[in-house]
Amino acid sequence: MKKMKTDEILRFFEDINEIKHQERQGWKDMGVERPRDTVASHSFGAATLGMVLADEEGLDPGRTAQMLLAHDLIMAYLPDYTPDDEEFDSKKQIEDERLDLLLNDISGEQRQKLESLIEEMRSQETEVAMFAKEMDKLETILQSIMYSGKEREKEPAEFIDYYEEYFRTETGRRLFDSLKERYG
Amino acid sequence: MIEALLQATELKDEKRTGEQLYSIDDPATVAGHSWAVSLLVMIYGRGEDMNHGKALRMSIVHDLAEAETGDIASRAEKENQVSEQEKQEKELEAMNDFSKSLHTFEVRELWKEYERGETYEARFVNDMDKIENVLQALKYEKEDRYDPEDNQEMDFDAMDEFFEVSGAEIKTEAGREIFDEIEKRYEDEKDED
Repeated sequence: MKKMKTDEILRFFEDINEIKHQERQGWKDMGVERPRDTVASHSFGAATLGMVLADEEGLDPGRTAQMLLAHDLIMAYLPDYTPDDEEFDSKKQIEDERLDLLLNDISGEQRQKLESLIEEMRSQETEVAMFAKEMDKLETILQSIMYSGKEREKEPAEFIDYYEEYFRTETGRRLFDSLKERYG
Repeated sequence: MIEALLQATELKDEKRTGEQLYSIDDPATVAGHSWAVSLLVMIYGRGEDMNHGKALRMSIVHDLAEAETGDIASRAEKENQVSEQEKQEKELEAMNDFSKSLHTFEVRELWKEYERGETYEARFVNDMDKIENVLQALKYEKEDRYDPEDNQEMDFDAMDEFFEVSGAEIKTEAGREIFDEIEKRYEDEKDED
């Protein structure tokens, strides 16, 4: 196997390190003070949920977690658009362009691996990808509940309402419904 | 179940103690660190050497206990090492609680295996944990993200402590190779200042 060069990993990590410190725009817009939730910590939260819950849905926990760890890597290369931004609709196209930038940092087997994970998530055709998307949204809803006791403008109910259409698997639906009952 | 999930999101608010001790401007969170460690495992881990899926799951849970206990830094000084046993007990208790509410003991078992450090997977994940620390330290050094004046009471120059503590714990060949390269970059960076 072709080994990834240390130079490459350093360059790659320098780029993606940014998202450990990039506070999520959605929380700032909500008026949460010092949200501290970064793009990286959101990815981690979603991956943890995916890993813990995939079994229940009969899916591969490792694949689910990996897809969620990788799904927002692109954010290191572009702004964190929210549905309120004009650019939100052309997000996909902008992402396509930036994806090349991200993948150019690395080579060999690792590049293929990341590319396939990111593509699978984006095209939303496999069961794992659809489940991972639910975990992505579930994580955001859970975070909104965590913040709801603190400074805020929006209620978790708004997120619950907005993301409802995403929840289609049995496990995702079950958790979503119980959150909706409590906070919706 | 929901309560446990909410509890786990505490990690996202938990700032890294080691970085706070160094008065880093805008330190990373435990969750941000865990994400990066998992990504390193995902990228560097190879199926030929180990059970890749297990290592990945282990990296995700390796700091999960800190959602309840907070981030207790492992420092180089001796006086802080006495609390190690107490730290472990508190963390085990936290992992027991998590496992119960999540209805899966896999989370706790993976964490225990990591803590014991006996399997290759555990050693590899631990190495990636250290690599992530020094990558972050290199980054702070490059960006001058701290004021050396604030750290005068420290026994170490610049970010050296991160390299010293982490370097001593690297156990796999793969980890050593990456560590040396990062350390070299760091020394170059310091020389430039």
